[in-house]
Amino acid sequence: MSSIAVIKAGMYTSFQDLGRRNYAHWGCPVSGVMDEYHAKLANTLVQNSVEEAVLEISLQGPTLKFNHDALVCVSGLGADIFLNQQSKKINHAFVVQKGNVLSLPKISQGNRIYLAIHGGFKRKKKLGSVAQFQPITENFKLKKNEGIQLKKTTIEYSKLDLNAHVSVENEHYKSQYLEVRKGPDFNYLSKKFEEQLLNTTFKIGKQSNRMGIELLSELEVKSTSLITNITQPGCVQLTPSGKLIVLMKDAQVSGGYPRVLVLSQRSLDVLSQKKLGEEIQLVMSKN
Amino acid sequence: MSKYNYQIQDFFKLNEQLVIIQFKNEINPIHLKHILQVKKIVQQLFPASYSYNTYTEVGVQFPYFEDLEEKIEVLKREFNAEKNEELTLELPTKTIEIPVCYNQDLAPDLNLFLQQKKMSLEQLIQLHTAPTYLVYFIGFLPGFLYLGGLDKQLYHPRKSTPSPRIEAGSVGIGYQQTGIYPQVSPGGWHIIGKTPKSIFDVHQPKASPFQAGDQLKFKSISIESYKQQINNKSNTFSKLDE
Repeated sequence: MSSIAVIKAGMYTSFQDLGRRNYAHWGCPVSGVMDEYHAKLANTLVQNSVEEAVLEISLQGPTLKFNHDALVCVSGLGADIFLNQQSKKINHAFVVQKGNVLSLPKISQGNRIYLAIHGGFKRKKKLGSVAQFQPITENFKLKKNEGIQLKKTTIEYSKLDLNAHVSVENEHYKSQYLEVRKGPDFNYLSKKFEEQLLNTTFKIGKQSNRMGIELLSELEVKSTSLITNITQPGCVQLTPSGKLIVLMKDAQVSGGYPRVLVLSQRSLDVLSQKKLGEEIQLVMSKN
Repeated sequence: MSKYNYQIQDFFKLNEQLVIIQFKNEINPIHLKHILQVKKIVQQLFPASYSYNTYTEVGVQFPYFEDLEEKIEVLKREFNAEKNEELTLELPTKTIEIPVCYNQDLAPDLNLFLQQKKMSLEQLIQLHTAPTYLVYFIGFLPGFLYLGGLDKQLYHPRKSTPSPRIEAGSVGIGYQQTGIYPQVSPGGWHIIGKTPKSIFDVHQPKASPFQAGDQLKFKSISIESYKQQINNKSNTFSKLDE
């Protein structure tokens, strides 16, 4: 029998870890968690290595029935968490007993939350990672009625902190300022546009997903395609229609649009939690 | 002139882990040789690093918590042009043969392509199978080959409206490029043939049989042979130089 039965899979729940780092030479994206800060926090609070797989949960979360005891943690900016009917706190570890049902019906703040379980999920690595991405993995997200296997089927109650929590330092998620640095094709920008870029308010656009996040503005600029070159999560591309696209974890490993700016992972963490229509501004990093 | 060897223009720190070595901004088989040579030297300099390339860049990825400024200094010293050493550009290459069936039943754009180019099927097959193509790198989708060497007579603008679904194994032409769709995806290229081979499969010891610098030949096969190979689903590739 599986450790966990998936009663509802949720809208977009997927297994992720820190990604598939060394397969760009075969055209494989990095993949992995969008918000590394909260994913690492979830793993840490259940005393896992930060490299362990977690479930990344977007929009509406899953309903999971546990077939044995487990120590779990849900982390993120805000979500409704129920163990049977009892409400649980975010960013706090807690014990789930055999037969309990964990449901995550609503993410109340941000876009995604992370579920980590002590000992980790038992998943086969494909090209060095469990991160779900087709066709490297069979499916791109969790499916209803799928059985989830855990590496540990018992809890060593005496050895573990069963209520670990921290007062989370995630104030920076509330800021609308995202730190950027010059990208490899920064010189492609005119001085005038360069200034405008740093004095404009952008809105998160509809075409935003695990591949990229669209930043919309009133700026008028055109670009052209360049020779196809290296792209990585964090690269900000200027498309021929003048849109800015921040490449996220499932982005292509190469592309032909000018890479005008680059966001740090810390900025990507924050951006991944900004909702459709939310406003942001870009600030040039001082170092 | 660059102050570095191998036509290196600059070194760019993209993030805390990745340095991009930038070469002359031009697609050219000679540059690929430089790029692959540099990749090899970097791997010897930093055995813990991982590197890969595109047309004019080498990405060097370091493990966490390395001082990349220091690494860039090492790279600059290594490739300093004043060392003026003999550049060795010997590369081990293999040529892999890809069977393609050029048939309208498998390639929905074939007849229209022939009409627009005012060309016979025989001419198309001859022009498409004659060159030895160079694999510059793999990108875009897992297993997608960026190939150089398409005959100018086959250049054709991309479709104005991309097709929503192109089958895995489809062989297409888009402007100056030809290539194989490794999996089902939307796309704007004209599909002129289909290979029965799977060119990206994680269940194989090597998910892609190709690496940057390899060569590729297309070989025309009949629809009977295509069907037979689909049924066998064998994934061994003929290497022409073995």
